[in-house]
Amino acid sequence: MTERREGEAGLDTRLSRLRAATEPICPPAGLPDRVMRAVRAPRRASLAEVILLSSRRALALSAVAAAAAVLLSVRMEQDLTSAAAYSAIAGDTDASFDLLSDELSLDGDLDP
Amino acid sequence: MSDVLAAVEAVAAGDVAAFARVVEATSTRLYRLAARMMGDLQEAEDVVQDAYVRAFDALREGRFDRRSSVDTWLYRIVTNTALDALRARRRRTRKATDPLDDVEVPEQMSSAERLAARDALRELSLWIDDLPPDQRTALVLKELEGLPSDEVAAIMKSSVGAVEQRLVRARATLRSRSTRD
Repeated sequence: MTERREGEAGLDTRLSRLRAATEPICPPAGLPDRVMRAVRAPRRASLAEVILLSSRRALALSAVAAAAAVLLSVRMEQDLTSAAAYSAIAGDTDASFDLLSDELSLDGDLDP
Repeated sequence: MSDVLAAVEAVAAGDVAAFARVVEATSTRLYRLAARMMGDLQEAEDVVQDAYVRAFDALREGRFDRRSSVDTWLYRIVTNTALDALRARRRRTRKATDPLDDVEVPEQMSSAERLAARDALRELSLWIDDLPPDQRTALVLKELEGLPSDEVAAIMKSSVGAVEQRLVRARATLRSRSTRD
């Protein structure tokens, strides 16, 4: 018990000495200017910010690509339908029949 | 309203130059805290600068919630920045020379104070170096900065009981070390 009390007293004495010795520490004269320069400087993005920004860009690009793919497929489908109809009118019966039957079977309207 | 709080409000409203008043009013205390946390004046300067940049950005982005005082808030930022710097220091490959040999002490101090501060920081750094970060922080804030336990708890976003427990553990570690020495 006494040993512990002595240990506590020694600890407090050492902490007080270190506290007193470090009390006069003051910042270098140029620190405020250095801080204000750093505050006004453009920030470098952190790794998390870079990842977030990249993923947002990737998401936007993916959305544009998906929309373009949908538009293209709709357009192709319309072209195919027009081509089949044109062939049927022009008398190319075999080709038009194949194209039309393919399309109709995709829609499930024609029995194989 | 205190001068610092008025300056903080001005910065939050977009007045960049007002931040110089915040730095002017708080840099001595914050620099001393950083020096005691780091045990190195050069690193303390980097920590304080980084902490001020974080504080400025937080003010401009409206992230100072005013639930604590400006002083407590700034102490918290410096403490967290110092802990980040200590972690980074541990990750770095240790140089062949002791980094504390290169300590530059500010010119405003007398040569006697300079020597005493340099020796004290070196001693402090070696003494508390392997304490866990939460115990180190509690010890520096309470025993060296002399802050009351409730303010230490507010800075560490913790309860007073948890702070007292960390202090008891830190003191027990340091006491056993002194006994062994």
